[in-house]
Amino acid sequence: MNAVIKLIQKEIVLEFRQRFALNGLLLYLFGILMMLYVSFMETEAMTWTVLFWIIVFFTSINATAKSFSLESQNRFLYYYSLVKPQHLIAAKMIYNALLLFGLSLVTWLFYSLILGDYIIHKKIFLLTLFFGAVSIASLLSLMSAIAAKSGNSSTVMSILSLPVLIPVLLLLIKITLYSVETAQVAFPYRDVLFLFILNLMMGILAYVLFPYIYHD
Amino acid sequence: MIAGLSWWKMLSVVLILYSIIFGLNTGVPELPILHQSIRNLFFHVPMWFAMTLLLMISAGYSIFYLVKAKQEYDFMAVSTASVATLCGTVGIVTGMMWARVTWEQWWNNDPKQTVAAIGLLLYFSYFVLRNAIDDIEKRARISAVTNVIFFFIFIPIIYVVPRLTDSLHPGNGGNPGFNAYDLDSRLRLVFYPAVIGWILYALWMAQTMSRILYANYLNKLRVNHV
Repeated sequence: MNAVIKLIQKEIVLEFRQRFALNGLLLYLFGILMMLYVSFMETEAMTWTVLFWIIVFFTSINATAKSFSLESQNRFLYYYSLVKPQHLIAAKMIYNALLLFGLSLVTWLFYSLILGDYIIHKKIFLLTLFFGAVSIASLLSLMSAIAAKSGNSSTVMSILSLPVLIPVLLLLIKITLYSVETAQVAFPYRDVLFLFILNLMMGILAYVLFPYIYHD
Repeated sequence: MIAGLSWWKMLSVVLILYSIIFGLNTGVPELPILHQSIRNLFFHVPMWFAMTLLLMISAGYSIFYLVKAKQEYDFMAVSTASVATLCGTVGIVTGMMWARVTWEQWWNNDPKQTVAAIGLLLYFSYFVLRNAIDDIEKRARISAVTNVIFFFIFIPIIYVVPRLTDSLHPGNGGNPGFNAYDLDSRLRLVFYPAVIGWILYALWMAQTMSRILYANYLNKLRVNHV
């Protein structure tokens, strides 16, 4: 547990030392937002929800793509002598979840500023965002670890992560529709449960399989 | 030639021929919407059975590879996954034909069609990943891990997500289904042999493909050695 916390701290320190990555992400985010703004100008609840998650998804792919490829192979060898591989992937997942949650909050802020806010159940939406960030982070951290091991990681990353994310996108849109205006739907328990099970499974798979990816 | 074939390979050919001949000739129950198109049951549905079973075997071989790094296991995993993807593609195409006849359109917003397409996309990305890695041992290991992960994503999305929404597929949303009531004995008499036949045939294809891959691999090793 201690090792995991130390590794997360290391991630945060690294992020702030090389600020180009974070700044680049924010710029990318504003870029997409402006693109959507000039092409849509106004939206309705359903379009708003779908577009919101699509922005978050593409930003997340960019945010997590570098999580294994940015550090050198030698440094991984060094980590290997210090910590268990399970600790490393857990730290990456938690850090990515926090990063994506932060990014999706920023997205929500600016997105609602320029395209209007359709959310009525703010607290539930906040929870949805957090849950979404955790799901996306757990999937994409694993995919980014796989992509980093193949030669050209950026291409492989986008190829691997898009089909994996589609079911999560479907579920998150359905869950979000609950906290949006106009749509009068019952709370989607089954979707939440399914997403939770998917997350749990990813956690177990990462715990069991990551050592095989990591060890050369 | 034929004498060299093992019994299950011959059985697969016999069962498939039987399912084609009897599938097109047997009497079928009169159901609304479906009418004669119900015969597609003998060709469309076995594809999904074969695909699911082969993907299971593929994930199994990937786990074997991770436990004991033998190159044959990797070839078996990739060839079963390839044949499974082929079955899935044929399944989607036959499904689209069926959809054209019964639901009026090649592609409806049917959740089962959607998840089938997503599942195939998942496995196509597995093949792209394999091609992206040059080192043969590394490729085997990384793709084994990916295959296991994809299998555990694939099964829930293809079997659970459609059940969370209303579907046009038989058995959902007021469509005549193939449950205990409707799947009458005449259909069963052709359907089960067709399923077994296509599964055996798919296994045969996978076995042949993995043998070719392994032979090429051994050949390359020998050339490098000399």
